[in-house]
Amino acid sequence: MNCEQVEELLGAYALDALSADEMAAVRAHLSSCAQHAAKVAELRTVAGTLAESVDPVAPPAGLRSTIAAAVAADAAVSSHVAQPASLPERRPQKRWFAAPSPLWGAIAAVLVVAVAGLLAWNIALRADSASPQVVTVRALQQDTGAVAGYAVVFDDDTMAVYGSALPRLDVAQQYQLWAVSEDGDATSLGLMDYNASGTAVANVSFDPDQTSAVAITIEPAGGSDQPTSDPLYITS
Amino acid sequence: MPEEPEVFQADRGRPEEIAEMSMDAAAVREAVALVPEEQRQTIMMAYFEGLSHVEIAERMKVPLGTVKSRLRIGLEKMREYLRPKVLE
Repeated sequence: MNCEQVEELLGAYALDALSADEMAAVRAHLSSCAQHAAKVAELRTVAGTLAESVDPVAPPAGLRSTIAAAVAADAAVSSHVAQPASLPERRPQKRWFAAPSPLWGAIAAVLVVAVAGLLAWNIALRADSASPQVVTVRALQQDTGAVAGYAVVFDDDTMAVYGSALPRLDVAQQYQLWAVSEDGDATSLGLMDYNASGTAVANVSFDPDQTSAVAITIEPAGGSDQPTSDPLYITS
Repeated sequence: MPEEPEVFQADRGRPEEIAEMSMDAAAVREAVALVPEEQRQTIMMAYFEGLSHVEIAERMKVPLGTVKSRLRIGLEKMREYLRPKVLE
């Protein structure tokens, strides 16, 4: 790999986003190229500030209203339960959500930081001292551990759901959010819609006493009154 | 972020500079805000979600070279902004 080829990879290298082979090739180059070694150190320093630059404990005031405004501005998010869809109805699956994976603790620690970063990055923050405070931030994960996004829970029993990695659906389908009770009963929280940058988002109210997990399913556009597909992502 | 093998530690960045720059979180946010959306989102996926460039390319449906460029140019933009403020 020559100097020019390495130059192009430095950003990805600084973010550890290359394959093992490429990482090794760049590293080998750095040992003989002082200029690039210095640049990598700088880029890594810059990257290192990203997580530190946000405060996971005390998110900026006004975060929620900003999210709400962003959601409302970009899409009319339905928070009511839609009419039953035409697909054959299934009984809600009892206890469909798995116990939190053992990875959860480690992932959660990272994600609390991550979501604060995501939000800070994606939303133009405004001051609003009267807004509700963040109670917790939960990852939306598959049982494989893959993370599709985040749910930010506020102290006024609402949550902002941010599906940063949810693939865009066909127009005939929509993501629907469900509150899953301890008994495994699912109650619709509303549908997700897309913001201007194509991310599936929703801002919904929920009853914390009746919610032991939140699930996302793919439903026919307009939503269903009970889930008609297996949940893709769960947070509990 | 996954733990790295020790061999990576030597070029891990400078902890004291990270600490110093982090104290000026506002500057970091300003720097982030200057990075165009697609570059910012790419960096975000690499850093916060720990995705590889291949995974990012698949998810964003852009060529691998585009991902590499976005990561590099985005970080360089942040560096240019932060350097006079805190790096020096």
